[in-house]
Amino acid sequence: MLGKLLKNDLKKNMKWMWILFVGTIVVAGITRGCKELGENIAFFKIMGIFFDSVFYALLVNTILHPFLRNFLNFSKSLYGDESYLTHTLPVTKNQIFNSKVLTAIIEIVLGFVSVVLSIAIMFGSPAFVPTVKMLLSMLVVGQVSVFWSLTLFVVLVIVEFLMYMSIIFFAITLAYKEKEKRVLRTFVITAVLAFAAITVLGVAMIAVLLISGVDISSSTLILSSSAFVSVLITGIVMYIGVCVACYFLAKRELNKGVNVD
Amino acid sequence: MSVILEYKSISKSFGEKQVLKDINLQIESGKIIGLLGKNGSGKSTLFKLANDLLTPTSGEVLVDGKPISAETKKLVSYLPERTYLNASLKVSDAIHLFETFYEDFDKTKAEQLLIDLDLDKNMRLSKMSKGMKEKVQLVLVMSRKAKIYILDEPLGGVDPASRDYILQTILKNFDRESTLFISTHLIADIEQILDEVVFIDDGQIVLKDNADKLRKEENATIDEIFRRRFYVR
Repeated sequence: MLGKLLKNDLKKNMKWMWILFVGTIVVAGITRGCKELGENIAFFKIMGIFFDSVFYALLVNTILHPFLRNFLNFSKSLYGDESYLTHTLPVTKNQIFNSKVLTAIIEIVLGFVSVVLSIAIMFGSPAFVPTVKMLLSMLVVGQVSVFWSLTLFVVLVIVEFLMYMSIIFFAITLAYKEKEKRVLRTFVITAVLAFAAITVLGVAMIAVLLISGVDISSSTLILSSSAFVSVLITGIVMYIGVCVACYFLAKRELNKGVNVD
Repeated sequence: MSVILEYKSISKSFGEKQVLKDINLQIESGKIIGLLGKNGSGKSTLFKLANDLLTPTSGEVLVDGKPISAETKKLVSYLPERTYLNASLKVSDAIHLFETFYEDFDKTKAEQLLIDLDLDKNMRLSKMSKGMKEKVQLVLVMSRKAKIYILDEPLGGVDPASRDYILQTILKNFDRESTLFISTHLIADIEQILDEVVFIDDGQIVLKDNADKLRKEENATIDEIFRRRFYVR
C-alpha cells in the first residue's frame, strides 16, 4: 500500500513540478547560448540579459517550490478536506506518513539535481575547477579535493532543507492536535525547533573546530583540510540526526490519532 | 444479527466543550438506520469517530468487533458531508484512485452510475458544482461492496428533483446484507426506507428504536416524532 500511496502523492505533486525542473535546465542552456552568442551579436546579448533573470527566478523556484508544495500537501491531505479521503483509505498511519516523507525527499533531491545541473550548464568551463580551488584556498590550507568539497557542500544544503521539512512535518502534527490557531502554532513550533537545531549545530561545529586546533578567535579563519571536511560532515550528521528525531516524533504524534475539522 | 459497528462509552470533547457524552450504541448488520438530530447534536462527530477522522477522548469504537485499523477501513464506505476529492482530478482519475485502493470497488458499476446520474467521467471536479461533486462522491462510495455504508447528509446539497433518484440509487446499490447508517435533516425524504432510527441530542443518544414500531406507538411519522421531541416548528 505504501507504493500505491507514494505513486499517488508523486503523481499529484509532480504533475507540474517536473516542468519547472526541466525548464530550469533548458533555460540554463538557452541563457548560456545567448550569452556566448551575445559577445558578437547585440540581439543575443539582450536575450542573454532577459534569460539571465528568468534563470535565477526559476532557480529560486526550483529550490523553494518542492519545499512549499510538500508543506501544503502534508497539511492539506492529513488535516484539510482531503484528509477525509486520506484517513479513510485502508492504509496505516505509518504508511501515510512514510509516503509524505519519501515524496518530500524525492522532490527536494530532484529539485537540487536540477539546480546543480543547470548551474553546471550555466557556469561550466575549464576555468571552473581552478576558480573553486582558489576560493577554497582562501578558507582552507592544504590539499582538498574540489569534487568532494562541492559534493559535501551540496549534500549539506540538501539535508539542511530536509531537516527544515521534517521540523515542519513534526510541527504540523503537534499544532493540528489543537482546534484553533493551527497555522500560527505551526510557525511558532517550527521557528523554536529550527532555532534550537541551528544553535546545537553551531555549538557542535565550534567544538569540532576547537578539537581540530583552529583558533576561532582569529579574525581570519583558516582551516586545515581535515578540519574543513570535519565541519561539513558534522553539519550533515547533525542535520540527519534532527531529521531522524523529527521523523519518529511526528510519526508517534500521528499514531496517537487525528482530529480533523 | 451481528453487530457491525459499536460505540463503547464514547465521549468526545473539543477543549472545554463536550460534544459526545458517554455514547453506547450498537449498529446491527443488514439494517438501514437513520441517525437523526438537530444541527450540532453530534451526528457528524459520531460518524467521524467511526472513520478514524477523530480520536475519542474516552471509550472505544469497534468495527466488526475490532478496533479501527487499516483492516476495518476495508469494511466501511463513508460519505462525508463535504467534498474531499482533489479538485484538479477528473472523475475518471477519482474512479482510478478508488479502484487502486479498495479491493471491493466495482468500476463498471461506478461508470454505469455516472451515466445514470448524467455525469461526464472526463470532466474535472474543479468545473463541477457542489451538487455534482456530491453526486460523484456518492457514486464512488456506493460502488464499493462494503459491510457498512456511513452516509452523512447525502441529500444535503442535492436539488429536490434529484433526491428521489439518489435515494433510489442508494437503495438499488446497497446489498441487503450490508448496513446503511445515514444521517439527514430531510427526514421526510428518507423515513420510508428506515428500519431503525437513532435520535441524538446534545451529544447523547435519546432514542433507538424500530421505525415501524415507533410510528405505530406514536401514531405519527418519524418526521413528526422528531419535531415533537425536539420542539422544532
